[in-house]
Amino acid sequence: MHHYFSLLHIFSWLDCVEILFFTFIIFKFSRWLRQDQRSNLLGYFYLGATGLLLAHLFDLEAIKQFYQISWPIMLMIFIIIHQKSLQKNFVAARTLTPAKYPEQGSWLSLIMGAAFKGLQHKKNLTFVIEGKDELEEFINKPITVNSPIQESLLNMIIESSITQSETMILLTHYGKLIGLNGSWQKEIDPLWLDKKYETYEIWEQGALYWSHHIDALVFQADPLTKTITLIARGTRVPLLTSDKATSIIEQYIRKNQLPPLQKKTQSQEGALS
Amino acid sequence: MNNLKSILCSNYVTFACALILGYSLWLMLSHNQIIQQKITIPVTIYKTKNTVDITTSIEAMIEGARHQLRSMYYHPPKVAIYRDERPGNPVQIYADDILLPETLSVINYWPHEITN
Repeated sequence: MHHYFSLLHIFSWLDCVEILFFTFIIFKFSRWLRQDQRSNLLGYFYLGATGLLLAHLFDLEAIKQFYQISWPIMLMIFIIIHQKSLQKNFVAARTLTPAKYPEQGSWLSLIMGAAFKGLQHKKNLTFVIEGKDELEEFINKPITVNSPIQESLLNMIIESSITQSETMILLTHYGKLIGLNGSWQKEIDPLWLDKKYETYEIWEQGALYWSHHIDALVFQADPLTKTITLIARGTRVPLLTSDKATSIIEQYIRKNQLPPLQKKTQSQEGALS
Repeated sequence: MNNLKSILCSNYVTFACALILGYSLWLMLSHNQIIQQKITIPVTIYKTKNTVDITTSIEAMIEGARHQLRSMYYHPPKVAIYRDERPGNPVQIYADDILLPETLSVINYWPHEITN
């Protein structure tokens, strides 16, 4: 080997193979840590590794021993934190290709009508409009439907005994009915929610929590006020007229974010994220 | 700040950091590893005190801890022998004739004798 390699304690090509082996593992691990957008895990990893190198360089035995004992634990913490973040971001990584349907307003007015008609049949229908994040991992749907929204179909759903009184109806953002009798796959621990949201209904608490993590829009007609309560992006917008709610949903579908709302109607709230 | 983050997150920088960390980790783990190294040692045979008779070299297998082997490059081993035999006879080389740093040892060497 060349003299310069000897200065680096490298005396054979096998040493290079060993170094490349460690480099490859660290590179793959670094790239994996880098995928976590929520916390700067890669930065912390570099910081920890630099600490170990300095301890080795200056022969700080106590710190070296501490590292030897705690490195596996540190790596486990990195993995757990990362997995948690991945879990939260899971659907964000799986985006759906939007299909364009020209008559957006028509199907929205149909489901608005269905929401109020459901109240006449004593059914609180919660409509969940899927955004770019796939809902399949988050919502159970015992009845799968794959049909464009039609008035007759909605009437049949409302009047059918199969449809539960408190149920979720899943729709795509281009006007397709995809599921009935849906429910969130995971129940929300009350500790996750701020105490001031305890007064909200269960569907609102669930929608506030999950809409922090996915871009679905959830709404329901209020039987008392005969208005629409809409929740998206962790924001609850109550007391909307049917027209106003339709307009907001249209804008949300187009831009994937809620339009700026008047303070009267908007209450920025949500679950602890 | 975002620019710095994007630079640090680029594949090249990540690989460079991984290379540094990989090398350091390897060095830490193999610091005290005993390894063998084949080297060429110059041999000088003197006829009289200041008269060089033969200049040649031998191959030797040296053993020592990795971090100690590096000292060979600061203090290169050598062999210097005074020929007290008649010219024409081969000169025997013994392990003790190979001058090495104390922490290193000779496993084997060849040839064992030098002829004219």
